[in-house]
Amino acid sequence: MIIFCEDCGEKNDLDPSDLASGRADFKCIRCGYGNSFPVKMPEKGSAAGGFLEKILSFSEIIGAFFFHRTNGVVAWRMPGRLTLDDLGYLGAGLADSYEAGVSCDSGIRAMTTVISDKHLRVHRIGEYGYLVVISASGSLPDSVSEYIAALEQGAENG
Amino acid sequence: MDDPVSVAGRLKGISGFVLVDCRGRVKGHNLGAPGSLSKLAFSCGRRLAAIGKENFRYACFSRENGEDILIFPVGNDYLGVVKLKGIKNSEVASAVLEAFQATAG
Repeated sequence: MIIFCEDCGEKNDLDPSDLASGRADFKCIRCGYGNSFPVKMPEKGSAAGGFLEKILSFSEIIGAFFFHRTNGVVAWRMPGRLTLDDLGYLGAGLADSYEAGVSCDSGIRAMTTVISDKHLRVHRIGEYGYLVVISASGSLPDSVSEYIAALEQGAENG
Repeated sequence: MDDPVSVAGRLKGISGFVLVDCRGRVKGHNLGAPGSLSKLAFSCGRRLAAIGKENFRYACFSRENGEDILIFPVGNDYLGVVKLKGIKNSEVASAVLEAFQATAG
């Protein structure tokens, strides 16, 4: 499972069994910082958690999360500096902006916002869900785009 | 300092633009009917500016027809442009950011 260093943001790939206690205790592979913080594990077999793991395996992807209108942030793999409240605020703001765009133009299929040097890409998944992918560049790897397209298609088909 | 509407009118790679102020009023455009784009530029621009604060650079809405829409904060205003099909979003974004940076400088 990918866990981000709280100090430098590096992705560290930890064995899920190392997180069984509900805490991530590890030294960062890049900066050596001794991380120790609570982690909320996704439900076993969670499709959302599995999807995030898959796209986080690409080095271009910095983080990603699913936001739901009613349930808030339902699954996430993000650098440790952001709290769940931060993600909820971000998810709600991006979802509102996306919907404001669609209400003006029904041909809109995705939204990318550039904040500092980060690209935050938003896709609507189903009626109330949103996938937010954060990357260092504007173009996603082809495989990630294909995964997202398949996810959107699956949601449309119910 | 150049008028932002004049700067927007000289941009390449776009089929149209609209500049709205912080209350959503159209300050200038070169579209037949700017209503839809002005509404989008204002409603999304202010929301995303609230999230990104001074670090919000631009937003891009991908459309099925390839003519994507880009929104930029320009001072206290928001600029919406419609990109020509076949041109990369990043190219248009760089051109707009450079044009307005040069104006500000």
